[in-house]
Amino acid sequence: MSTSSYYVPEQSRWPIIASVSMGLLAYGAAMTFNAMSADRASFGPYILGAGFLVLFYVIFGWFRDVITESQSGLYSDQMDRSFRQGMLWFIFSEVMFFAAFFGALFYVRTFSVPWLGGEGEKGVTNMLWEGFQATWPLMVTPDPVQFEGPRELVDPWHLPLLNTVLLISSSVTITIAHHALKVGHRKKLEFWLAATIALAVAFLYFQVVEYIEAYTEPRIDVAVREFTVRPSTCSPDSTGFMSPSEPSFCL
Amino acid sequence: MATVDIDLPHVKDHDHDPHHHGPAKGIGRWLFTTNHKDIGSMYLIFSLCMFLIGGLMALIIRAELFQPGLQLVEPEFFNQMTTMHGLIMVFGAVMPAFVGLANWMIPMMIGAPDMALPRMNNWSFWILPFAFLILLSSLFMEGGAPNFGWTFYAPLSTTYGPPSTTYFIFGVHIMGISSIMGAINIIATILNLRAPGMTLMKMPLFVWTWLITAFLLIAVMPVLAGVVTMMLMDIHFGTSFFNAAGGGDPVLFQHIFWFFGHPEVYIMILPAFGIISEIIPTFARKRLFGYPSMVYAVASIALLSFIVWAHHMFTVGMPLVGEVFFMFATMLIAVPTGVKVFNWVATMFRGSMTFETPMLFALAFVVLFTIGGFSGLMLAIAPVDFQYHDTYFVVAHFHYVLVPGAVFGIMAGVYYWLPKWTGHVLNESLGKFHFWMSFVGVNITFFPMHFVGLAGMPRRIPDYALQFADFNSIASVGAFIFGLSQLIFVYNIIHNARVGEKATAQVWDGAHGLEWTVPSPAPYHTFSTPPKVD
Repeated sequence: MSTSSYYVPEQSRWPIIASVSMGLLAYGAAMTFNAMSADRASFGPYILGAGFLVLFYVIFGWFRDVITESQSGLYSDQMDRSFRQGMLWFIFSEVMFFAAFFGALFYVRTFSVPWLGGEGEKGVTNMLWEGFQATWPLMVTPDPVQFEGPRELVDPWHLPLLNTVLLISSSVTITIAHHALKVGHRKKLEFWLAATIALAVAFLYFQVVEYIEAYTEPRIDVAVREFTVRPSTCSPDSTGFMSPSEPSFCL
Repeated sequence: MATVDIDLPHVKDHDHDPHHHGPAKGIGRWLFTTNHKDIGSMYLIFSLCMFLIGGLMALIIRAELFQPGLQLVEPEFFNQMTTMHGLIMVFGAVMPAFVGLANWMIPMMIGAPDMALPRMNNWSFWILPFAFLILLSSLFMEGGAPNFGWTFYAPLSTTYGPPSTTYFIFGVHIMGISSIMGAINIIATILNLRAPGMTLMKMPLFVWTWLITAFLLIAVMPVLAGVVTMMLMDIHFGTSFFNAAGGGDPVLFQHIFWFFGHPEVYIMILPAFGIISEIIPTFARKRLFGYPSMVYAVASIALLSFIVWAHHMFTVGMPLVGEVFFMFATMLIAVPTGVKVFNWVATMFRGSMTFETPMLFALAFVVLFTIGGFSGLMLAIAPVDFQYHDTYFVVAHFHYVLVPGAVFGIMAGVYYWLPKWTGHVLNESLGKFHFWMSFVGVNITFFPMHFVGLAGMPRRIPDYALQFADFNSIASVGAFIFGLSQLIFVYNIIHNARVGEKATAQVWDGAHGLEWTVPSPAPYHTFSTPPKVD
């Protein structure tokens, strides 16, 4: 419930700059992808790059403003709750985003592939590619000319294992940093926060490597490719990095 | 947390003189604002512009359909118009209008100083113009704008879509981000910023319906983002989510889309329920009948909306058990909806009714939305839907719930709260002129569509068989009446903002609630210290 004063910030230039950044990112990405698929050059990557630059500028400036406001004692407990609730609902929205992908995986694995193989209530769809055998993982697609199947499966004990280790250790380091923050150990906080960021960068690097490998050498099924490599945006260290207890979450 | 003494020129605590602090001057006021009233106004003006642009596209559609045969536009362009009309009306007109009303009214209704996260509030508005610039720019691209209908079914939108589909995908992403941020802000405001004594079950129904709508938005907008991301992968990165040749399934697209899409239609109607539940008690001069049951009904509708999506897909060849389940689950929604309509009627029963403009729109809402609800029940019956599917009957159904439903709800709300925003009493003659023109126009437009639909006229086709000609020309005439009468709406708003008798704080003599205790126009900052609610 309400306390007597709630800090309403003065005008801010960050949201409109962030909007420009988002416009550049969207337009640039669309231009880049279209040019990539049509095999021609475009300005897309420059627009995209400009969008990222503006985005980094906004993140830096906006976070800085919020941290300064917080440190100068403008925020009440009620403000703190607004931030936490905002973060909580944001995480819920991420859960729903990935629910769509896991739902698609469930549907493909449980319904569409067995149906194409002639099993189940809609098994009549087997007539589309007669003789197609449903297997999971799907090593031979119904139409191997159009969609080349994978040659082998990704070995879970290499890159995926490494990334899992990076992921879990980053949640340990951020927790140590969080405890240090609470008791006011600035140096310790800085060290463990830096360690977390280093782990996050390493994680992202290996994710990119893994995606590029999966895309360029089709080792796993094209239809399930997205599911076998972990998407980085849902990783505990990108959300944990701005954990609900982190006062610098800044919107 | 350590408190550090830092001088901050740009973060002044203005709580010390809340009432002497007016808006900033010039364009900067709108670009940098953190004020819920400014942002609410921007949302509403943006929505009005989109409503007129989307309406123009509807008029192009209706002009082409005035006579059988092809007269004005190429079929390809016709498809672009139906697609863009739907997308703009759903994401550009109806949703931002409700967010604008929420921004303006919710802080005042619950006694909050502003929205919980004011800077994010500004951000969620300002990305919308960028999203629609990207979407509208696709009209001028090679290959034209998206032409696959607002539901963008795969493979029409993946294998056969124009190159502008990629821009459309990113546009939808931005719209989704905007809606999610707006919804997060509204939930945080309602749950965290209520004045002392404003318990949940004392909240005005508009606030309740928005709380539940915001939950729906956060639950399903990410699913929409997911489905357009899968499209992007299928188009550019060689995946086969929606292509059976690689093990996927085009029907999977429809499942994911409608898992978003069905809650989405309640996102577009629940806040209207809230507005109507504010207006009817005011002009019937009675308390709302059955307040708790209204809250529970809205919550039930919202929960049911998650398990009915495949009633949009009865003809795709689902297993029989799916058809039956989704048919009965859908019909269940009629129960809480019936509770709401009953309560509105019971509120009016033996009330001291007067019929000012907002009340007229609210009454039209109750009657015409119910017609749309009944045609919805007809469509819910799977074996019958096989005949109605993709005909003009569906078009008639959802336009009845969206135009005299959602849009009339918005207009009712605008007329109801306009005096609070501008400080001027409404010009009733102008308001009623707008109402009657719209009411007549909307029915002439959409009622005949039921008949041509039942007779088998398919939707999204620029030409039709001769036997549908009469009803189509009637519908087209109605569309132009409805469309042109919205110019009266625009005039009324501008007129009211400029001139009019000074409005009192209460404005309408039967109005109750915190927003009617502050002066009209509402000061730039209301409730810097929360009021006491008993």
